[in-house]
Amino acid sequence: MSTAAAKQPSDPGDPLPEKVAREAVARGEHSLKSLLELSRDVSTSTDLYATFDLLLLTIMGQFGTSRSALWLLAGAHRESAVLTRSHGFDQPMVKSMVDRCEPVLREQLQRTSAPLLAWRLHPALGPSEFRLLVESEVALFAPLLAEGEVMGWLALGPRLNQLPYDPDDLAILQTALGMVSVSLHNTLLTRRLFESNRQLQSWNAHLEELDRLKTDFLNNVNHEIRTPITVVMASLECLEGVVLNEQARGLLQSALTKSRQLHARLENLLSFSDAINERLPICLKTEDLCALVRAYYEERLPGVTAELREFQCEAPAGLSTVRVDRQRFRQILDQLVDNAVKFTPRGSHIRLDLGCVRHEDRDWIQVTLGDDGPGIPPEQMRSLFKSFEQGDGSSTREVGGLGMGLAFASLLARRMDCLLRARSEVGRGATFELLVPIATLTITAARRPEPSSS
Amino acid sequence: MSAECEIESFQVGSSIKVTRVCGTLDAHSAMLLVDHASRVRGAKQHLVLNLAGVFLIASSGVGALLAMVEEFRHGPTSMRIAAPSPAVDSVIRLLNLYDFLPIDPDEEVAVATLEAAA
Repeated sequence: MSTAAAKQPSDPGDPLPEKVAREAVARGEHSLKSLLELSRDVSTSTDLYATFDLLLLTIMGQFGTSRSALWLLAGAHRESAVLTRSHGFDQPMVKSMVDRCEPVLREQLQRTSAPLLAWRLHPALGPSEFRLLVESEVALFAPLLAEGEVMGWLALGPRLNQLPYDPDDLAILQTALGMVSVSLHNTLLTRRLFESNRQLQSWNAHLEELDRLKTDFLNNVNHEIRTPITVVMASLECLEGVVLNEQARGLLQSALTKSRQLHARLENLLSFSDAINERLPICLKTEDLCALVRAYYEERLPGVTAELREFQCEAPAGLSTVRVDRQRFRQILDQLVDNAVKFTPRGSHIRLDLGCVRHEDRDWIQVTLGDDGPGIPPEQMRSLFKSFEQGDGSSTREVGGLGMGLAFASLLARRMDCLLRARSEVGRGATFELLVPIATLTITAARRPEPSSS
Repeated sequence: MSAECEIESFQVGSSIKVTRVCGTLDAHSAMLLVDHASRVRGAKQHLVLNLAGVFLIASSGVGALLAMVEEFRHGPTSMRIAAPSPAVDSVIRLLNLYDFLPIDPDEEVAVATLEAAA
């Protein structure tokens, strides 16, 4: 508040200096009271624009001016100044003035971090900008600061009583704006947080709905297609007993093979759907993995080699037993072997190996399925075990399938407390490793009797 | 945020709205008053603001008075402040604003002034 007293008619019974001093004290008390009220009201305000109005009206009343305006810097990098509220100013004129003077204004306010009398901008402004500043009748600018950065500014017109803004006034203004800046900054942050949460919730709900639709679709497709396929397979199998010529028999065998493949794929799809819905039953039993893998290899060898991929296996006997679901274990190997055949050219080599590894302070039996095919590009490695994504997502992809095999295999592995991982280098093949925990049996040793002292 | 504040408004003649304010003129009631004045101005009416019943006026209340007076100054209608209470009078004088606000001693004088100017 100005310490320069305005001219007042003197009371004949009261010495002038005492009256002036009393008035100065009264104005000081009024200023302090205004600051306290502003602090209280700003801290309880929940509406952003109400806070703007509160600030402007309080400052106008405090300093006795009928003109005020507030700009906030908007955008991710606070790149644009937005006029949020104004009283008394010619809005188009003052807006145009700030647009023209903004770079200088911003720089000066950031540099000083304090209220700035408008005429002090004169040296940095061009003649036309300064003329605009004068015509707009802005007397001073004061920055709103958040974490040391300008987040906006207040503009005030001249005082109605024509008294200048002195250093005490600027100090009070800076204090007031300091309080308001913190409140505004917090309010803006809170608003953005609420909006981000709202968007996240909306996206989550949308994703949940999409997931449900996908599951429903899978279930419907499964059951709608499974039944006719079963009928087709049964019909074809009946035809196997009919006497047919060589050509017809060849066609029949081809139809039967493909329909069995389609049936198997549908079974996988249903199992995958069940697994996602956690309906898939898992029955763990103690198994000799070496025997399981050897039997599996013998079964798959004819088919893989028929596709002109050399298939080898090394499964040493004597490894520890494991607890797995035999059917699910075979399904995992099916996915890995099918993929190796699918994604390698004829003449490639595929190896199925068994060994022991130590991982995360535990002992595992590792089943390794490796090939020397083209390998998997790094960008596809990231989504390798995600459903409905294949290496080539285009509709004209060379290799058929639904893109669910590895996701399904990974799911089955997790359900059996196993780990499925992959590594690959482009041009040097791909290797899949299924880690199966070794079944442990805890035996509590009986305590040996203490030796007698005699 | 706001203590009690009552705003009562009635029509005098065809073009003057008299508004009586009682209670505290603080941040919350100040904004209500500014909005009310905007509506009166928008309806092309003059406004007499009777502050006889205001026992406490904050800086935001003073700011509201200044904002309203300035807005009416730029329009076709006018505003007068009538019968400021001792609390209002002392704050206005403390801020050296008495000579810059259109203040009348009572409601009748304010209405008469506006009727004469119309």
